[in-house]
Amino acid sequence: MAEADRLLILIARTEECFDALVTGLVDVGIGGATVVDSRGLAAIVRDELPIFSGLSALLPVTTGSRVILSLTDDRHIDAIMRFLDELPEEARPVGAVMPVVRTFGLRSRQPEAEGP
Amino acid sequence: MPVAAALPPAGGSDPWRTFVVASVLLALVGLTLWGIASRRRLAVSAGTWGAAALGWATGPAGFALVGDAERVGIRSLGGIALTWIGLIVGMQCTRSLLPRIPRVLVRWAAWDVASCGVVAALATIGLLAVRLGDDLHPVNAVVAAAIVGATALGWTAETRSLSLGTSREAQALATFVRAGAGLLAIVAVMVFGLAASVTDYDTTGFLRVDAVAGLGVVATALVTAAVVAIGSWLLLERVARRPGERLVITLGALAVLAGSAEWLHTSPIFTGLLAGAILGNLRGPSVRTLSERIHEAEPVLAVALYLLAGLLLGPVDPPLLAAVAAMLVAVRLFLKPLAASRAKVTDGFLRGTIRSIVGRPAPIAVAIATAAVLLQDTQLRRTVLAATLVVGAMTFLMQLAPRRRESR
Amino acid sequence: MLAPLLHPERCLLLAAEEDVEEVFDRVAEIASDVSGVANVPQVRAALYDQEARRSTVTPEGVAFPHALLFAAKRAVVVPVIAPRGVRLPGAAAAATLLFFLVGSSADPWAHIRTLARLSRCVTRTEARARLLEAKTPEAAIETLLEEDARHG
Repeated sequence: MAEADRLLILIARTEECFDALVTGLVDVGIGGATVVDSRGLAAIVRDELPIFSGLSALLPVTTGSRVILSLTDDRHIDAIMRFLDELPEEARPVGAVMPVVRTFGLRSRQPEAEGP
Repeated sequence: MPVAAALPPAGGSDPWRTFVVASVLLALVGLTLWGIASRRRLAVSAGTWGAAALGWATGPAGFALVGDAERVGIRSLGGIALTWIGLIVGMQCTRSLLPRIPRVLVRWAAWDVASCGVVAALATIGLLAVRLGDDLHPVNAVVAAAIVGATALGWTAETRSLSLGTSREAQALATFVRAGAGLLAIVAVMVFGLAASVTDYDTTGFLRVDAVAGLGVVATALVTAAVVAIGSWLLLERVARRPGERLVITLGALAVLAGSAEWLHTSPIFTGLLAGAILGNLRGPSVRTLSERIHEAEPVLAVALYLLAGLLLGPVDPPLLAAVAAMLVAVRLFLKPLAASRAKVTDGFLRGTIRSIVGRPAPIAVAIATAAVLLQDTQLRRTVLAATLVVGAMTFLMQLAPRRRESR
Repeated sequence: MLAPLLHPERCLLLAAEEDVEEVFDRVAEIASDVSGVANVPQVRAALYDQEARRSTVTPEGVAFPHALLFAAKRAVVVPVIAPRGVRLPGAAAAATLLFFLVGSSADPWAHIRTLARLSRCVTRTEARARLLEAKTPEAAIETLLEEDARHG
């Protein structure tokens, strides 16, 4: 099993984007990921310093966007990038891949040998 | 003013004067935007009040740097700015938001309208009766009362500077403050818009009420707003990925709404609200994008509004100004906390902080007072505008003083 | 990835409109035989109940009825091509492409990955159109395997 030496960060702004991402992540063999409900910075700034409006404060705090975090390796990163290329532009997430110096607490994951 | 005599005459084109004014204005816009980005309310307030001061300095009440020709252009742009503000307020009236308004908020808004709006309106009539005596025209007085009453509604929606804390009660209160401000902004614009629509000046210069014609104005404004809103939406859906064209469509819609308000002798902030309410209930990514874009422009819009308000200041009635300002301060200091208490908003939690929360006038008050002057430039309306600005400026200056924090 | 799970003999082409109960009956028999679960009604009930609890029909008319069974020794996919549509339990609209999947509860991860790969194989409109136009089970399986190969 390849060492998980990359942190994959994906920000899905819409439900459609998130659903597609889940399919893609599972398909390429990325089994361990954390999903965090999130809000965009513009939404926070707008809500904290409203000038003429404010009723939107009654809406749920999250705006439907989610951040997916996963410790994985280059092989899976390449596979997910190929998957993202297949998505229509409006369904593509914003993302980043970061090198990881050390990991801990990871359990051995499901068969990586079946990967792409 | 002696200084004004030393300056180049207004009305002529003086590039240096324009450069200086534009530079100061840009600096104020930058200060406001920086305040928003760094989440510093004082910076935002400083930007907007600086714009008001700049407007006053360059307007007829100050150094008269702005000439008649420029004032015509400013009037048109002011109409568009007010339409934009109305659009922002109106877009809150969505099917998803309005049902979420909790009862306590409705109660709070009702108490605010009854105790502050109505009292301020009645007090205004009283003050006018004392000041003008037999010269008081009833319809003028009632409309002025409606304007003052509308400006007395609500409070500033911003809560970050209050440092309410992170407890559940504090977060709930912050939500109520923001939502209540938004809700009362809708009520205030509706009150003013209806008052502006059912009245018109006759040949003698006095306002008269014409309910039938007024209903016609409101109906026409509604139809126009619907046509513009739906037409814009259809166009925006087609140009979803082209920001340049989106901007053109948005500005075009604002211009049509502002122009229709001018034609109907009603206020552009009212037509903007109607269009916003319709647009906010249409579906599609273009509406979401439009909402985000027009909200992003809020800080710049606020600067433009306060600049316009300053520019529109002119000869006022000083005793009436002082009386109306004092009355508005009294309403904010005493009646607003009472309204919150009667509505049982906090249930005792942070009761002392409520006074400082609701004491802060809502920027929509400046928008309404400005819209009133833009609709008809009379000494009475300018006095109301000046009183609104004075109360707001006093609140801003009070914020600069060190605050005693209520223990939580 | 899907090659071991697909076979023309385990693919149904429904030329005429069929009752959903009959579809489940036929699929359960095939799945039972391949997966090694002797109890055919158990396979049928597992697929039916899961679908009724939570519909898998997508807006494009593709469905993924699936079940994990303890007794299953190997996973099996039974594609059903139904141009006339089949109204699954709990679904608001009929499905024209159905991919029944029975997997082993000892390997849920493989089960989920198979579902994800099947979903990915029918993402493209062209792929779905080719499947619906397939005249034989062999043609349908060939289309699926081509799509599978496209995704590596």
